[in-house]
Amino acid sequence: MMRFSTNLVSRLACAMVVFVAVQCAMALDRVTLNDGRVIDGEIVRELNGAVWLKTADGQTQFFPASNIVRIERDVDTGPQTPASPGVTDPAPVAAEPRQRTEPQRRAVSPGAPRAAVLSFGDADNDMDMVGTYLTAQSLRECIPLLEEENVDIVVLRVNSGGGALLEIRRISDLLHNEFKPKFRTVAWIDYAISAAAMTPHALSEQYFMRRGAYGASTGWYGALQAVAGRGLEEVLYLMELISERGGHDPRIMRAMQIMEPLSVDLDENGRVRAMYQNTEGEVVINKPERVLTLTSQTAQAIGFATGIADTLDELAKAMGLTEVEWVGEHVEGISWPVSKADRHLRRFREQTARDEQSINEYYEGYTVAVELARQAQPENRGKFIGFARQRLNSMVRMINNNPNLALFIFGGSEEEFRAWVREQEELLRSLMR
Amino acid sequence: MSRYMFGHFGRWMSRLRLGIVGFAALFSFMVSPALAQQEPARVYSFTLKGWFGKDVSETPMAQALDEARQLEADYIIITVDTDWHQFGDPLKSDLPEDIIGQFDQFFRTKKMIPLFQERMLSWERKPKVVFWVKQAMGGAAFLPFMSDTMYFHPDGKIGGIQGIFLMFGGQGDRVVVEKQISLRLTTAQGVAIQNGYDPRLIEAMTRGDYVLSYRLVGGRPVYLERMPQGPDEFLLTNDAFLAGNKDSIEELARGRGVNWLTLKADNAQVLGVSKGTVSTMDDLLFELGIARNHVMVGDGDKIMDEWSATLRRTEQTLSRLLKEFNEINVQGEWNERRRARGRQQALLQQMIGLLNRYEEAIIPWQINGFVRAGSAQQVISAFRLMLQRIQLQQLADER
Repeated sequence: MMRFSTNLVSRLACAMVVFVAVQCAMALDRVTLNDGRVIDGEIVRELNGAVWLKTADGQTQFFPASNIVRIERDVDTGPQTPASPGVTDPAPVAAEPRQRTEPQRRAVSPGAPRAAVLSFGDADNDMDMVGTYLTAQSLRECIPLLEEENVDIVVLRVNSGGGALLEIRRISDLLHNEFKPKFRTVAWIDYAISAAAMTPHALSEQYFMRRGAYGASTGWYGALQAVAGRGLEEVLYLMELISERGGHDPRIMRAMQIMEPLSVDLDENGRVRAMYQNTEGEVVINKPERVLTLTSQTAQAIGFATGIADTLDELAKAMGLTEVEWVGEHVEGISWPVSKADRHLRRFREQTARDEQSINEYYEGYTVAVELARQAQPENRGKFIGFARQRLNSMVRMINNNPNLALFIFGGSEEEFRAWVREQEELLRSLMR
Repeated sequence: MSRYMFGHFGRWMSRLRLGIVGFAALFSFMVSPALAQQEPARVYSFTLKGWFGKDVSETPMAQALDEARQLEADYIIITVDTDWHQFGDPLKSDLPEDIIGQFDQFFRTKKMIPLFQERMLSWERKPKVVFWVKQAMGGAAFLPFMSDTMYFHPDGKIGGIQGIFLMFGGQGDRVVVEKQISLRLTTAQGVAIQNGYDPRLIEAMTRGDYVLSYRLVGGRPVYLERMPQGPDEFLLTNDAFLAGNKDSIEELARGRGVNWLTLKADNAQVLGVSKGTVSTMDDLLFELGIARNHVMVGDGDKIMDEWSATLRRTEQTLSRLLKEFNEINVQGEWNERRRARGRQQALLQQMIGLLNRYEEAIIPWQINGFVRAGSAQQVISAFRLMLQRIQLQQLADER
């Protein structure tokens, strides 16, 4: 009897555990926000339409009524299909679900999450060209620095007018394959034009400043000649793949690349019901014969903007962070703390700018000094060769800092540049003999 | 009885209310003016005049705003009254060459935006920034949109940025030109959006093929991207590129052109862009509600004037230094040649220093002697190359 009772108690206990677990799994509240996020948890307080929602990590988040589209109580929390604004009818490329669940996963760690802002270009100081000032290599070098500072969240503050096609894939791969698995990586859009829109497009969370601009991604060269034919198709396809990585409807980026219209139907809550690559939708986002650049308003209208934020506080709120530690030191004139990684990017850009301004000096100084050494008597060559070597070293340092300059300045690969340097070193040695 | 009691009680309540109101009025009469006298609104003001991009530039603006911060200004009033064109009046004729590319001066405004946004975040006392528009044409057109509060002078104007199509000189593929227009237009619209203005107004000022009308609903404009369809709808801009739509010289001369939008005191107020029209600074202070309770602080105009004066002096100095440099003949004995090269190097270093310091506002080709010069940065690079050549010449020069 006793044994039976014990068994019964333990069975009851098991049943209770199962019941509680089922309760947890099956009877939570669900809040759908107007930025597309769907948050599950327990509503612990409500006031005039605003709710305080306790989520699985034990934290309580506040959502003002103005941000809430729908509240569902005791919902089935089986496999969740996150609302994905902008992808409401079949797209040419199947888009992966938006990675909206990352905030909860990150917040599980003890203490407030640590976030770092990385300046993704600096258009205000003319250091913003993708490929020159924004490179996969310099960004990759940030990863150990971010890890050193125990960063959980990386915010790419985008301020760039675009740049080279060749770097888009590299940076997109880096963000998708190396940043996203390690950090909750989001874009904070100030000025993201052309290649500077195409690279962070791999990120699902796009927060816009009110003044933000994003798009105008038409490829061109020379005297405003458009990339066409096979080359164009390859870039369109590349951006379909990158759109998929970010969970964005590929028609949005397509309207940014070529003159294709874009329109949407909205439901009664202002959320995108259907998107069209024509003008048949109720709201025309991009007119025919135009190239799309999103403002913060249009980005919100099509559900592309995850949130709107002008300041760090607004950003944290839009990201659903009840508390966050912004990593870095205060620097006058910069509106976010500068982390080690951000400082690294700033140094990289400044060195690149110095090198770009000095490259003619380096190259001309080298070639003229070599020529003077050739013309001089052997006993007088030393000073010219010393001068030439100094300039050659400057060029080597320049490429060590930024290998892409081998292509942009010398028109060849890094390997070709290094082979040329070896030849020149041999030449200098021979002149000294 | 209950009604009587209620009425009786009501009368008492009424008397009590009157008493409270009376006391409050007395209190406010006795105390508020005293408080107000102790803490009048601190007003800092300066005028942006001269040429946008030169006289109106980031450095003096940052200096003025820093002074306003130090003086704990409550209001910063910025009068915009910049030069616009050198030849004729573009509003009354076809676009002259010198203003076609002025839309791109927006990118100078873009560099000024952080002064009013990000940098002000750290101010302990956040001032109200007010723009007073006299002439904000061409590149200066975007300046007033950096604040949510602008007033117009009766003759005030914002516009003159319609050259965007002509900027590209009719060359290139249509899609690339559209890309260039899209990125410029949208970025400028972002500034308007940030401060609560309708971005369609920027498009109407910029694109000749953009049709915009409005009607007033409850005193507020409702914009329509089509031609008016009734007497209660008003045209702002038509499609300038459609046959027969081009503004005539008669319309242009009378300021009635509708190919592009120019905001003036009247339409800016109707559209809710302008908070009001004021002729004098006193009127503006009155509109802001501080006419009798303010103190003007600092001297922003002095900062602006000194910048302009220094810039002119710098241009003259650069011209003189270049002339001196060109007059040096490297000849004679080795020591004379060395001295001449030394003098050349010193002059080049001096010019590089000046160009670096005033790079943001120096336009080299406008300086006497700097013919066919590019940007200040290009001139600096060229001078540094010359320095190196002189160094190598000296190295190669045998005694």
